[in-house]
Amino acid sequence: MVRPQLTWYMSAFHRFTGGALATGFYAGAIAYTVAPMVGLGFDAAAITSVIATVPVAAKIGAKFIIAYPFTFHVFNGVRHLVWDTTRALSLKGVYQTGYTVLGLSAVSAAALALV
Amino acid sequence: MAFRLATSPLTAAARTTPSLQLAALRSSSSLKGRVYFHASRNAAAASGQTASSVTDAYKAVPYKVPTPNQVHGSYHWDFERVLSVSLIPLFAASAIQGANPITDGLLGVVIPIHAHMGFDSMITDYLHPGKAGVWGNRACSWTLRGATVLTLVGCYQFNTSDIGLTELVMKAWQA
Repeated sequence: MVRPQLTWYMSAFHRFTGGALATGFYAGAIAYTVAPMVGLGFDAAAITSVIATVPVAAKIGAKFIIAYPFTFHVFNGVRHLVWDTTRALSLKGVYQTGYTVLGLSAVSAAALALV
Repeated sequence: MAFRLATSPLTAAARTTPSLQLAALRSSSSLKGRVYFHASRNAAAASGQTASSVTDAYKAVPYKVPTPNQVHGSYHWDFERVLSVSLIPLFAASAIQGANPITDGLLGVVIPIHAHMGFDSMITDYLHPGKAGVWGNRACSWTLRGATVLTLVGCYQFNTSDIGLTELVMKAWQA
């Protein structure tokens, strides 16, 4: 196993969060498309009524678990786009932007979970 | 430093002693019995196992080099960045103004295509023909295309006959 470093840890987490978010999105959309053919009631009203039955503490925890991959992927995506303009490509730039992304994504995920 | 390592008595012994070489061959981590560390490959050659099934980590796949095409090269890269950049104002608009048929419609197209391109990169990296076989790779690619088409259809139907993507997230988040 190669030594853990911010560079490839964040790169791997970017791909992992992207895959997880996309899998969830695909699963929801495909379930919505296929549900009428299978006879399974799956629409906005059904989803919101199921969510309403979950206890508040579990809802806040679940919201953070869903929000954090999203905010990390968005902010790290912006970091990738900054690199694509050939800025911040030095080791210092990579680490500074990396820590900024980690901080911003944690704070914004906490804020979204408490909305 | 490499010179010192190459001439140290310990590595010299490991390189020449058959018993140590075969121990490295047996204990080295390998994929389905194949070994690919140099000491082990030397030991494998010394003991007569030179077949590619032993020495190669991935199966060799006959591969015709395709003619360069900007559609799959730099235009693909440009298109991917255009989609990623466009997602930022789309999410901002969705968060600020709420449900809107144009925003929801665009999100329902840009998000699936962005996700498709990400999944396609993962297939290229982890399920390439050398790893999954030519037909395994093609099966994964076509499965992904089918799933993306279904997702696009689902997003369109949800945006037109149900409350729309932004409204769903707002309602589910506040439920």
